[in-house]
Amino acid sequence: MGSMPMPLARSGDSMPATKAGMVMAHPAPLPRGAPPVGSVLYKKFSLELKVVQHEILPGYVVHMMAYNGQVPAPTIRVNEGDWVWVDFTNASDEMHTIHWHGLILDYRHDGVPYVTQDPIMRGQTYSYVFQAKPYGTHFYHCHFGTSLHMQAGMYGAFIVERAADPIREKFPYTQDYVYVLSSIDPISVQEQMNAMFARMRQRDVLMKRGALDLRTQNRFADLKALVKAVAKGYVPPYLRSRTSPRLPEPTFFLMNGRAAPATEPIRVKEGEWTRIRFINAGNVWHSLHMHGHDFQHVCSDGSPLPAPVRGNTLILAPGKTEDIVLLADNPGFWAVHDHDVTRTVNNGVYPGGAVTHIEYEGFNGTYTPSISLDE
Amino acid sequence: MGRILRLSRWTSKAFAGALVVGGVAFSHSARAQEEPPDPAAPTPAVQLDVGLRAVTSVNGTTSYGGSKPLGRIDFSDTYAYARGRTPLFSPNDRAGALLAITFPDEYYEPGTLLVAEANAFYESKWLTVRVGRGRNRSLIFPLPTLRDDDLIRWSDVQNPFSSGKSTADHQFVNTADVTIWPTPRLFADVHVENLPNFILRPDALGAFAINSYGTTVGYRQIPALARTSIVRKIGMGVNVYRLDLPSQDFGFDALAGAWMNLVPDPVHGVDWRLQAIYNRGTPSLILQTVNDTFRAEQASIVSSLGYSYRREMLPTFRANLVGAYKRYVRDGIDQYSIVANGFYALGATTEIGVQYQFRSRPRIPESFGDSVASSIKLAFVIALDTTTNRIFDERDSLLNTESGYLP
Ligand SMILES: [Cu+2]
Repeated sequence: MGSMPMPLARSGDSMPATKAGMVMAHPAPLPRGAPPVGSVLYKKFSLELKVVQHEILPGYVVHMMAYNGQVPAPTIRVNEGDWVWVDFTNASDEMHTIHWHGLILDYRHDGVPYVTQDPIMRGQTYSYVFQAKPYGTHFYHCHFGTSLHMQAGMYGAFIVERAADPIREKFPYTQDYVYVLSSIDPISVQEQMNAMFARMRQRDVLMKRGALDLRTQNRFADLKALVKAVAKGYVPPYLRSRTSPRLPEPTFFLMNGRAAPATEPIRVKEGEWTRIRFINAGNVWHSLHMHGHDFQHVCSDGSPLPAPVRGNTLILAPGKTEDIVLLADNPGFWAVHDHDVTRTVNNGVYPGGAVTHIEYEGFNGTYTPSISLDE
Repeated sequence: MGRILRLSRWTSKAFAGALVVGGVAFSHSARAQEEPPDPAAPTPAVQLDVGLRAVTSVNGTTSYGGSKPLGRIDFSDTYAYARGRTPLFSPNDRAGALLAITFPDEYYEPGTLLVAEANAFYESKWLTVRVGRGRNRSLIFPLPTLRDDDLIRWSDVQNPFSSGKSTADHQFVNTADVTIWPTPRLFADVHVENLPNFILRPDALGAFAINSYGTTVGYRQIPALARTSIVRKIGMGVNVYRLDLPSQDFGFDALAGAWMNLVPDPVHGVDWRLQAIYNRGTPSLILQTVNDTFRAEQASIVSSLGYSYRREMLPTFRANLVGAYKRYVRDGIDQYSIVANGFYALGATTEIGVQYQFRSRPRIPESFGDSVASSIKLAFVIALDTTTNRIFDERDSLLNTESGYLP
C-alpha cells in the first residue's frame, strides 16, 4: 500500500472478477433506468472485506478491516453517467455494508443498515448498482458500526470523472493525487473488534437455532417499541451498567493508511499543475498547511467552487472532500502538514501523523530531507 | 520473592530460556532498585489491571452428632489484586508484575491477610513464564462453587506439608513455571514449587526449599469462544514432591480433567466438568493426624453439572450441582460431598445466591471438625475488574488467535 497515485480500479483492471457460486444477500431491486442484469454496459467491480494486519508505521502493526485487504480501499474511478455494479462480499465475522458517500443514487443502494438494507452477513455478497453521478471526488465506506468500522480501515476514494473536466480545462494538471485522511485509536479498535467478533460468534449460535430475537440484537421496530421495552426492564447497551463510558482517543493520524514518516510524498514536476483530492474519512478535523506555495482550492464535496480560492491552509472536516490544484513553481522540498499540530504525532511523539512533503522531480538541492522520529 | 526482578532486553529471553533448559533460577539485580528515573527517556506505557472481589455470605452449619448449629458471617476468598504490564524492547514480548492479597480461610481470624500472588511474569505468543508466589497447579480448572475451597479436599491435590490450618496451603505456593503454547489453545507447563511447609519449623532451612516438580499439558479454549465451543478445557498433570522422610524420599500425584459444554449456547448453556486426582502419597500411612489426611494415598473425583441462563446474552441466573468423592486407599475410608447452588445476577458483576453443601468425612481426626455436616450459605458476591491505560491485546484474544498474533 501507499504507492501513489492510488491504484486505479476499473473494469478489466486488476480488480477481481465477480466469483461464481457466491451466496447472494437479499438483493435490492435494480434502480430505474438501469441496464438489465448482465449487461455489458456495467462497469463491474468486486470488493471483499477481510481482517488484515496493516502496518501504519515501521514496527507498528494493527488488525484492521479492509476492503480487498487494503487500507485505504482501492480507489475506484469511473466516468460520469457510467452504470456501476459492485459485488461486495463479506469475508469477515462482522456485518458490513458499503455507503457511497456523495453519490446520488437509488436509496436501496445507499448502504445504510436497517435504513436501506439489512447488513451483509459473513459469506454473503450484495450487489450495489448505481449510475455514477455527480461528477467529482467522493468516497465509499462501511456504514455498519460506522464509528468502529471506518476507524478500522473501511474507506476508499470514489472518483467520478468528466470528459470535459472544468478543473482540468482551467488548470491543465498532469498529476492527480488522492489523499484519504483518517485517525485511529489502535487500542480502542482492537478492543472493540475483539468484542464485536466475540458477540457475533455468540449470535451465530442463536441464529442457527432460530433464537436470535431482536432484543438480543438490541434492535427495535421503532422508537415506541424501544421506549416500551425500557419501561419493561430492558437494559440498553449505553447504560453504565453495561458499558464503561469511553470515546476513542486517536493516537495515530493517517494519510492513505500511513502516518509520517511512512506517508507518500507529493511528487511534482516543475512548471506543471498537480491536482490533489483530499478526503477526510476520519473523525477529527484537519487543517492542512502547505509550505512554499499557494494552492487553488477548486472543489468541495466534489463540486467545483464558483471560483477557485487561493490559499495555503485547507480545512478538512470529517466527511468532506476538498480538491486543490497546485502549480509547481518553487523547486525544493516543502512540508505539507496538519497545522493542528496535535495531529502531527505518533502515539504522542513528535514528529509524525498527518504530514507529508512536496518533492520536485529531478531537483538537486543543497539540503536533502532525512527522517527524525523524536524531536 | 525478596527483591524486584527487573528484566533487561537481554535477560528477558535469557531467563526464560534458562528456566526451560535447566531450571536455573533468576539472577538478583540489586542495581535495579536504586537507579533513579532517567528524565531523558520517557516512561514506557504500563497497562494496569486492578480488581476487587468481595465474596461474602451468611453461613449456617449443622453437624450430625457433634457440635451445635453455628451461624457465621464469612468473607473469606475476598481478594484484591493489581497487575502491571509493560512492553519489552523485543516487540512481541511483555513483562509484568502481579500482587494479590486475600482473606484466605473461613476459620482464619479477621484481619489475617494472605499474599496469594506476588510474582513477575513474562508473556509472548508462545511462552509464559512466572516466578514468585502464585496459584499452583493443584487443579485443572475451578469448580462452580461459591468459594474456591468449598471442595478443596476433593478438588485440589493436597499439599503433603500442610498442617490443615488453612486451605490456602494447598493453593498458593512459591513457584517458577514456564508454559509453552505451541498453538493458541495447546499448552504444556513445567513448574517447580515450594509448597508451604508447616511440618518443619518455619526457621528450618528446608521450609522454603523447592519441594515439588511437575508438568501439566492440555487444551484450553480461548475465552471469547468458551461459551460456544464443546470443549472448554482438557488437561492432565503430574507432580513429584520431596518428602525427605526416613522411609520415603518422594511422593507423586497425577490429575486429569475435562470441562465441556454439553449445550454450547450463549443464552441457555449447560456445562459439565469432571476431574480426577490420584495421590500416591505415603501408602503405608494410617490416618491419625490432620497432616496424614493430606499425605496418605488417596484418590478423588469431582464432577459438576451447570446451567447458565444469560437473557439477551447478559448474566442472569446460574445453577450448579457438584459431587465429590474421595477414597483413602489403605484405610478404605470414603468421603464425599454434594454442593448445590444458584446465583442470580443483580448486575454484570454482582450476584446474590444460595449454596447448600453436605459433607461426609467419616473417621477423620477429631481436630479436623465434624465428620458429617451440612451448611447453607446466603451469598453476596461482587467481582470488579478494571483496566487503566490499556495498551495490550491478550495473547489469547479472538483477533490474535484467528487473524494473526500481534502483541
Ligand atoms: Cu463494516
